Formats: sequence, C-alpha cells, structure tokens
Amino acid sequence: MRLNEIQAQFKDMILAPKNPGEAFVDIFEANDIPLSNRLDVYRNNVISGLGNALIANFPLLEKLVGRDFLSSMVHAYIIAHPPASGCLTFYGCNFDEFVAGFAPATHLPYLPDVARLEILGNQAYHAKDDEALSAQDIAAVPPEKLEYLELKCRDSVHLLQSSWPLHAIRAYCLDEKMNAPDINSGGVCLLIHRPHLDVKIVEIPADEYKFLNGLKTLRLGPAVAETIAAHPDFDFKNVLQRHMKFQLFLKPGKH
Amino acid sequence: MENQLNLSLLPCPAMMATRINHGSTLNKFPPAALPEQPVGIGLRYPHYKDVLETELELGWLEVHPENYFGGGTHRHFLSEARKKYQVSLHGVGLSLGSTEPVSGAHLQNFKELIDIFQPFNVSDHASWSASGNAHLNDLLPLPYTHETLDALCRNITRTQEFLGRKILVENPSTYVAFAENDMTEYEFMNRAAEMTGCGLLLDINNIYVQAHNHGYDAWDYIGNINPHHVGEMHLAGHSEHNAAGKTILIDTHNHPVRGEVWGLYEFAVRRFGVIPTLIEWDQDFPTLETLVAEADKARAIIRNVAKERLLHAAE
Ligand SMILES: [Fe+2]
Repeated sequence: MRLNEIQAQFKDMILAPKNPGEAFVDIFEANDIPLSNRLDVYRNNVISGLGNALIANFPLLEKLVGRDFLSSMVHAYIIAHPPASGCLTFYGCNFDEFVAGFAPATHLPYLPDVARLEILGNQAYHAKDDEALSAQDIAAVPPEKLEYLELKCRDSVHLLQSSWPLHAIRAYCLDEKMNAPDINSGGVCLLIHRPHLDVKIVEIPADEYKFLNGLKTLRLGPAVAETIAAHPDFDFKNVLQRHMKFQLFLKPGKH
Repeated sequence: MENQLNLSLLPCPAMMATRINHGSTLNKFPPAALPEQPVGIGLRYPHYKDVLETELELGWLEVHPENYFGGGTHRHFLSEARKKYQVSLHGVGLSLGSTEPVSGAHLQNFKELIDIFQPFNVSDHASWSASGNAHLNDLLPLPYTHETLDALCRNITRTQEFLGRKILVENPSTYVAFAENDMTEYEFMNRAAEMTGCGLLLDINNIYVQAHNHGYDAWDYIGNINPHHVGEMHLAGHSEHNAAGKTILIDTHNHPVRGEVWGLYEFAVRRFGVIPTLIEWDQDFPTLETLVAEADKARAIIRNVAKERLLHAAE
C-alpha cells in the first residue's frame, strides 16, 4: 500500500470508528497485543486531545449543559470537522453553527449564541499584538480630512448581536449565587476586545453597535451619518472618545 | 457633518495615559548561542509566572511554537521568559512525514517566531498528522520505507529552505509497527539526516518505549545512531497500560523520567557527549521544583560522565 493511501486509511480509522478493512489490518506487524488495542491508543489520543482542547474553550457551555453533554457535542463536531491546520488556536471557530444544527440541543435555542461569544472571546485572547491608534494620531489628521478617515478596528475587536440576553447568561454562568436570567428578557449587543492582555466583554447600545459595524466598510463620515439616520440621538463625540479609551482602533500603516 | 467631526477628537490626557507599548514582542532578540547550561525544561502555561519570578539554575526553555502563533498572553510570557533564557522552538504541527507538502502558512508563522525569538534549536518530528483536509493533532507512525524516507526528506528540505536554517527531527514513540519496512528506525533517522543535512533530536524515552513496544534493544538503537547528527536530547516520563494481559508503554509525558530511562540517558551521554537536553512534561503538571529537580538529575549524570572522562585522561 502506498504511503498516501496508508495515511488516508489511518485517518479514516481514527475519525470513522468502524472496523478497519482487512487490507489495512495487514499492513501492520502482529505482536502479543491485539492490533485493535494499539490502534485505540491513537484514536483516544486524537479524539481526547482535540476534545479537551475544545472543551477548555467553552466554559460557559459546560456550565449550561454539563460536561457530558458538551463532550458529546464536541466529539460529534471533531468527527464532522477535524482541524484543518497544525495550529489549534482557532480550531472550533464554527462550533456555534454546529451547535445550531445539533438535534439534541434544539430545545436550548440560545446555545449557539453563547458558543459564538466564547469563540469570539478566544479569538480576541489570541489576536495579533497590533498597535492602537492614539489620540495624537487623530489630532494629526487635518480637520477637513477627518470625514474621510478609515478607522479600522484592531485584530482583537469583535461585535456580537444576539436576540438572547447573552450578557446576563454569561454573568449567571460565572457567578454561582446569581439567579437564572429570564431567557426571554430580550437581546443584547456586545463588544469583545483586548486592549492589552485581558479580554473585555462590554454591553453596548444599538447605535454604538451600528456605528462600529458600519466602520467595517465605511469611512468615518458616512459611518456616523448612517448611524445618526437610524439613531438620531447618537452622541458620536462621546462614543468615539470612549472607543479611543478602549483602544479599539488600529494604528494605520504598520500592519 | 464636518463641523461635528472637527470638534470630536482632541488629544486628552486620559487617552495618552492608557497608551501601551507593544514593542516588546515586535522587537527581535539577539541571535542565540548554544546555552551554557545543557539542561532545560519545557515551558508550559501553568509555570509561566513561576519561571519568571524564580531564579533557577536552568539552561534553557523549550516551547511548542504553535501555541504562540497568535498574540496576547502567551506571546507576552514567552517574550518575558526569553529575556531570561535561551529558547528552543519544538514544533508539533509541521507533519513532516505526510505525503503532502508542509503547509506554507504554518511555515510562515513558524518563521515569524524564529525571527523574533531567535531560538538556538528548531525541531519537529519524524511522524505525520495531516492527510487530505484533516490535521489530526497527534504524532502518527510511519513505515520505514524508501518511499517514506523520500516524502519525509522532501518536507525537511522544504522546511529548511523556507526557514533558512537547519532543523532537528525527533524519533517518535509508536504503538503499531508496519509489516513491510526497508530499514530499521535508527537507519531511517540516520539516513534522513544524511540526505537533508538536518540534525536529530534524540528522545531517549521514546527509544525506551519503542524498544519495549516493538521488542528490540534500546542500547543497540543508541549505539547505531551516528553521533555526528545529534543536536538535542529529550527525557520524559511514559506510562504503562495493560492491554490483553500485556503491557504497552504510552508516551504520556505525565510522570518523572523512569529509572531505566535515566540509565539509557547516561549511556547516550557517554556516546554523544554534552548535548542540550530537555525535561518534557505535558499533562498532570507537577510543581516547577519537581521539574527543576529532574533537570538537576540530568545535569548530575552529565557531570559524572565528564568527571570520569577527566580521570581516564589523567591515567
Ligand atoms: Fe520528545
């Protein structure tokens, strides 16, 4: 058997736990220990290694559904979506979509959004060490050009809009003594970012969300205009100062 | 519109005060020399703070580069640790033994870390993890054939050319052996080094595990490795598992180094001389003191062998 075929069948043996074919069994040397026991060492290493790595990234889900249930979702996910890279840092970035389609979890419709929150928190934690735009950088922009400024968010900045009270769910998961939140108490807009080493998760009003989301594609002037059109009370001076304090924006040119 | 914008963003002291310096991880460290003290430990998350805050008689630190491809906490701690110690980057994700070429994106990330942290050694394994669209995050076994040797050497060469430096390749622990091999594992390792100019990272515990699991002589294995190629050694603890009434050794890195493996290490030091040696521990983490005590044992063995040599020379 050629090496690429051996590797393809070995991979299938690990990911699709069925009895391997005879041709595959024959490529191994027999010894005192049955082959199935020895192949199980690899199967366990891969599945439990990936499983533990994923489970560690979803402490809120673990709190909500328990270790066993999370484990069963994670194992099904690994089989359906094995890692595509030798670096696991961002493995599981579509786990929320998988959870949304996971039949035994459909009675918990807020789970995918909680998963999304944890994914974005993890992405912020491992985001690039880029440099924040400073007040001086903005002061250096000629006033007549401010409108055309392209304010880009740093690698760690993420936005999440949910129709579930994610912030309250998170607080509940982190604090044993809190009462369970009312799941139907309405949605939330969250800003996830990392000014230096610690990840911050901040609830923001809908106009701030719209503004930051607008900056993904629009220059400063149009982003402000579009936000004011939808939210006439949008106090963009205050908001922008707050965002500068959060160090949300990327220093241009260096990256 | 323009009016509103003009007013908005004047420099304010509070903003300036919160500005932070990101320079530490972007600046390069000076090029590495071989560490003066030959024995190092694997740096893992639970020991980050202790390693920075304790004065230790440690030669160097080894990390898996894949854990530092992103920024934030991990890079920050590696940066701080690199100010105190030489480091070695020990990859687990290149999948050198795959028939497919090593990932260019992975190499690019690896190279970026090398450029910043200036490791004295760069290594990965004689094993595979990637097949098709899946990367299995384990060190999977290879048949020791000419076809495999060619595939492995292609990837080692691609890696060395991309990184612009020599790498070390580590011998694996395996739990299955292939029925049709063209050569022994030590021949396979020697040849890979001869064909590509790479060095060997000899994991003494892996040799012990292999010898037990596949029924050959660990001392003979070490006696047949060409000393010219050896650039680093690893020591770790394995665990014993019962399968169908027999014992299989698994390379779990969650125990102290076993007595027999220390014996084998002493034999290796006699054969290869003073080579940078690492204590690896990856699960069920002990205290930092326990790890350092293991490193002390390795240093004592090196010292004893050196002393013997001096005595012999004097006779
Ligand atoms: Fe090793």
